[in-house]
Amino acid sequence: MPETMAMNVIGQKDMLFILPEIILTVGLLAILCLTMMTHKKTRHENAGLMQVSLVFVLGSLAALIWQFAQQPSMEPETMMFGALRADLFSYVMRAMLLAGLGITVAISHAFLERNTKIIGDFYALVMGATLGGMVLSAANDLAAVFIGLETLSITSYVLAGYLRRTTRSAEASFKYLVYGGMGTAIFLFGLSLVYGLSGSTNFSDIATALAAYQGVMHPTLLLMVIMVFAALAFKLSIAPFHMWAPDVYEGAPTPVSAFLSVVSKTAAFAVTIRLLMVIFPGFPAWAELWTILAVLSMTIGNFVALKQRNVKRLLAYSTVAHAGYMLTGLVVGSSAGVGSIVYYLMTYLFMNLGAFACVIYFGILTGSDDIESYRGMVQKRPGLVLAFSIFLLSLAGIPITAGFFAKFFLFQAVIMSNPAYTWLVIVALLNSTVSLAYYINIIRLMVVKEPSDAVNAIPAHTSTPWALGSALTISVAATLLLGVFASQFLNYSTESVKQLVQERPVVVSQGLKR
Amino acid sequence: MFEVGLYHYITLAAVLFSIGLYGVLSSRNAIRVLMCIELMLNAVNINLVAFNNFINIEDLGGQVFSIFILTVSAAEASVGLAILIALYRSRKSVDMERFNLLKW
Amino acid sequence: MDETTFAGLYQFGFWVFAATMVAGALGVVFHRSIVYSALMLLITFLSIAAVFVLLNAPFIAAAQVLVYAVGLTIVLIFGIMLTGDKPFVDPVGQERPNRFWLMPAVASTIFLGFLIWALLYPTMGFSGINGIFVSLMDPATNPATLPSVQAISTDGGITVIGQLLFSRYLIPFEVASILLLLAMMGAILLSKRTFPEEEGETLATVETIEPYAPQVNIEGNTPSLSSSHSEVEEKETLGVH
Repeated sequence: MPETMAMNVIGQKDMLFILPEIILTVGLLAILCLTMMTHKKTRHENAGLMQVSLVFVLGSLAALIWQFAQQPSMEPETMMFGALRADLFSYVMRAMLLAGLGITVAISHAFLERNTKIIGDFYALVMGATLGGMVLSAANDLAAVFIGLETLSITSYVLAGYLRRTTRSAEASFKYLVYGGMGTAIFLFGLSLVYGLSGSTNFSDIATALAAYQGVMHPTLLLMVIMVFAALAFKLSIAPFHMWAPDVYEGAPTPVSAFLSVVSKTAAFAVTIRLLMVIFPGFPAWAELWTILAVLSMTIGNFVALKQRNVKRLLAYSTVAHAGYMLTGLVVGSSAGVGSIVYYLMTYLFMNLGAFACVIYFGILTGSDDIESYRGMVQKRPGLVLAFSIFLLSLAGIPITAGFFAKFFLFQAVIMSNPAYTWLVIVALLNSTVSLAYYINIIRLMVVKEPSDAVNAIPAHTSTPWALGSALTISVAATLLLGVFASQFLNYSTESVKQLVQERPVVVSQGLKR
Repeated sequence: MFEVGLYHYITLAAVLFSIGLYGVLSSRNAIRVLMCIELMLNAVNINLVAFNNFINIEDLGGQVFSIFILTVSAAEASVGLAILIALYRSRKSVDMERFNLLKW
Repeated sequence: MDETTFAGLYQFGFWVFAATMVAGALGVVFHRSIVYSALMLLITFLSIAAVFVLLNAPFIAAAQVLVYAVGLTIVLIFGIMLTGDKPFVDPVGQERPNRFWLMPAVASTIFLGFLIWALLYPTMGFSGINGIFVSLMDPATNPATLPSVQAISTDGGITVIGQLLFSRYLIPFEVASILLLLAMMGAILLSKRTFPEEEGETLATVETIEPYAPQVNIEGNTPSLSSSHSEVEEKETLGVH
């Protein structure tokens, strides 16, 4: 109502809260202008574009960390007329998204230089997509969720088709759009039912309104939950809604696959966790639904990955399997369980982006994404093979690496929260053993086998592009060190989710009378 | 039964949504697939506006939400057509069955 | 006009527009010519706009006409013209309109059944005409006296919607503007025609694929498509893009 609305105005606090988004937007526009100004597309200009985008991404990350450091106590509050929520969770997730974006920008440059002359637009698009993800992970309103999700998705469709002259890329893009459009429609139908049941688009009002339906077994509620979460499962590429992922990851340019598998997925997990913890706690058929999806996702992901010969396809299926592991935390729904998902996402960010960085580098060296073409790589690039092995072992969950700690804490939290789900953890562990087979197989090919023709053709020494090199170094360091400092990071993750849980008993807004 | 109320509108939306779903799943022409996605999104708009009218007309939040859907779905359709044109250049076809470089 | 005539007209309007909407939607899916499908889509969009008017949303109805019925349909027709050599014949649909029909038909019928069952399930103790969707409005107040309804009757609700867009929905509104910018840029990027030398010689991955030629023999039987698939083998020189 106009009267009550006039009381709120945007203050300094609101602007400071969205400062990282503002910096990212300014960066995006700056890149667009710079792209228009640099006609000649020399090596130098292209490198400049990448550096400018990196500066803006790091500036945005710095602003976020500065904001975070300002408020040690971190009282959750709503921002921008209740559209966004400033809490620990939003800070943690947005920091992860920006870190993922920074690494993506750094690793994509060498690939783009090699494959296309249109470079600036790529950075603008990934920055826009991350902006959508950031809004998504702080959203406190259905409209913000929807717009954030669509900004992420529509830019992703374009990115997947970035090498438009390549049929494979255009085809991946179109498939992504058709599946994604269907997913969006289903998600929106679910959201419209949420609106119908609560009469508001604000999370606080919805949580209050939906609390009245707790314990009620009504098919409309079931329909709402199924539609919303089927669509989210789709965005998270959880089996049986994963069929788009391998095609898109294989067809899209490799940096885009990296971006989709990490940044996109982190944002989708952020909104899933927020919806689950804040507005849908304790809905019927909840845990059962997620249990089925988790088991399916792990099993299908791992077993299909076993027979993949294209490394991007293999990583796509491994992504499906990892989403399945993370779901076990959602099944128990405790703050420890969900908190370990956040920690898992942190480690997953670095190891998966690192693995994709290696794939990009191998692709540049050998001109192929076939696993067979990596045969005997150790004889030419031992350092790179070592880095790739670290990422793969971390993805498999071998001790000392961060991937091990992530799995360990996750499964521990699941058993501690609800011992009835021990069987689920056993299934997950068996699945990790299966996954070991295909990860180790790649390492074995690279180390033990005789070099393939493609590897033999690699010159003995070429200089590594500095951006790719430093991104790889950071990823290796993070993969090794996140495990060492696991307890601190886990603490943050669990704290952030605890705040979400505390948000549940919400103040009724003045606008609604019920 | 013939007194038109909320349930008439949401049933109408459900019917439209299902027709759109059938079209997306079955059409061979890629442009028709895009049209059917638009039908599904329009069904959601009907739902939102109907809920707004019958549940909470004091606050036009549902109508504003449907404006966002309107905006975004138009953007999505135009991006879809652009991708399709890029694809048509190399494929010389808009037949979903011909998009077979990647397995569906 | 007295109350009952108005109510009668309202009911009549609903059924008429519902019928044209469903008929139009069916036409979109089943008509053999893709251009007629686009026209059917136009009819559907217009009926939806009419339904919005019935639902106290004249502004949304106007936006629906402007964005969907005028803008989007024309863009789609452009798309049809650009992607078909003979615009009024759907080369794909003439041959066989659907990829497969049984599975989608079963799936969407089950889906529709589930939707209707779930939405129209007996009220289960939820009183009121709206069933589980409990109305937030105070039954004692006359809706016509509400400020928002009065705003709708005077200016179509534009003021209220505008206030909402610039307060509660400010963030979605601003992000939507960035989304539109990026979508526009993406659409230009993807559909711009370029020549190989413009994009760099290193792009060795441009595939040459045989143009599509519908193969219908005299009897009208479609030859099995799997045979033509094998011709379109991947001809990538490099696996990486």
